[in-house]
Amino acid sequence: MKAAASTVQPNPPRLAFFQTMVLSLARSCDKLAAAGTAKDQRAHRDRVIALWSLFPCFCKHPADIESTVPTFTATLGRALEDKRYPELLVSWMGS
Amino acid sequence: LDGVVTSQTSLLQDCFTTRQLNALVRQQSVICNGIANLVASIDTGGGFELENASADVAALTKASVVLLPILFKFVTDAHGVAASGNNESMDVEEAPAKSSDVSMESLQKVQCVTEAISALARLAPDEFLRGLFKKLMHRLLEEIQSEAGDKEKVCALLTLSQALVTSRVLDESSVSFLYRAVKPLIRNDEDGPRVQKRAYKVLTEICERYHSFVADKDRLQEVIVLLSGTVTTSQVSSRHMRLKCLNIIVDGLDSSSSPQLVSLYAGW
Repeated sequence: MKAAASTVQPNPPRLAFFQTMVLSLARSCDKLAAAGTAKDQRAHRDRVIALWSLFPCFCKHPADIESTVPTFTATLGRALEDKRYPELLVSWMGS
Repeated sequence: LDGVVTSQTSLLQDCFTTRQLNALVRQQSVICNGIANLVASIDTGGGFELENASADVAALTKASVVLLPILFKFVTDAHGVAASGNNESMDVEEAPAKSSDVSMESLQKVQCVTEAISALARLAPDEFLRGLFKKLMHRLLEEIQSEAGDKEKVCALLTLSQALVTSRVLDESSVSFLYRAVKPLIRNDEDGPRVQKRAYKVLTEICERYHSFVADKDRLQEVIVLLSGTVTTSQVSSRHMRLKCLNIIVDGLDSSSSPQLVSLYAGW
């Protein structure tokens, strides 16, 4: 099945990219949401959720489960428990 | 910093078309879907051998030990919210007049989280899972036996049990224990329709995932007696699950089934 998946996906996603690039961007948005005005807060908050919503796609046959998951688990745990972003668990019908 | 964020967000928008981005943000339950996708990525279709596991499986096994307790806690907490505006379909007797968006969201959350639990439980170490199941059963029995037992908590614990049954990771003694725990909840309707319906769901899942357990001659007779005895005590909301359960059992019967059992079915 893995072989079949890699034929469909010649360039498998990398969780490390999500962890370092996408999540650092989400962290920046989160900081801006905490500091900005009410209107900005909403926009930055939505950006955080939109960036996190890329996560399931990065989890489809990623190339680096072994190297990234051990360091990423704590982040996932914190995100699951983060009361400020319940949307990460609720069905988000954004756009 | 704002400028950097805006430029990088627009870079993302350049990489994905608006339609793709919209499709992405419509994903249900971001983190739970991600977890389920990760497990599906390493699933070869034949289950996981944790003893001679690949590095990927080993990494996810370690992650499951951290994430499963968090997901379990989430389901227990979310059930209280769902109950505040209970709108579970067919719960006619107890449902309030108006359905609430909050409860709907909570029920959706619980569903997504239990799917993630089922996926992760398949990778969890046996010892850890046994401990988790033991604690779960301890709390369930405590809630059932307590006079001031919280029915919502019973529902949450039954939902978690159902998730573990779905993952097919329980051994026969655990399934037998769970079956004995849900039997009284199915038999009588004193705990309310929601609890009875949840108990039926667990039994249905046991019948579906552990058919050999139910197909055992003595137990099959016991299940038949249990289900035929609940015709009058089944709440309206539980009847669908009861029929589903019967359907699964009948589908599993073959020509080798004892004529005595077949005649019991005929009695329905």
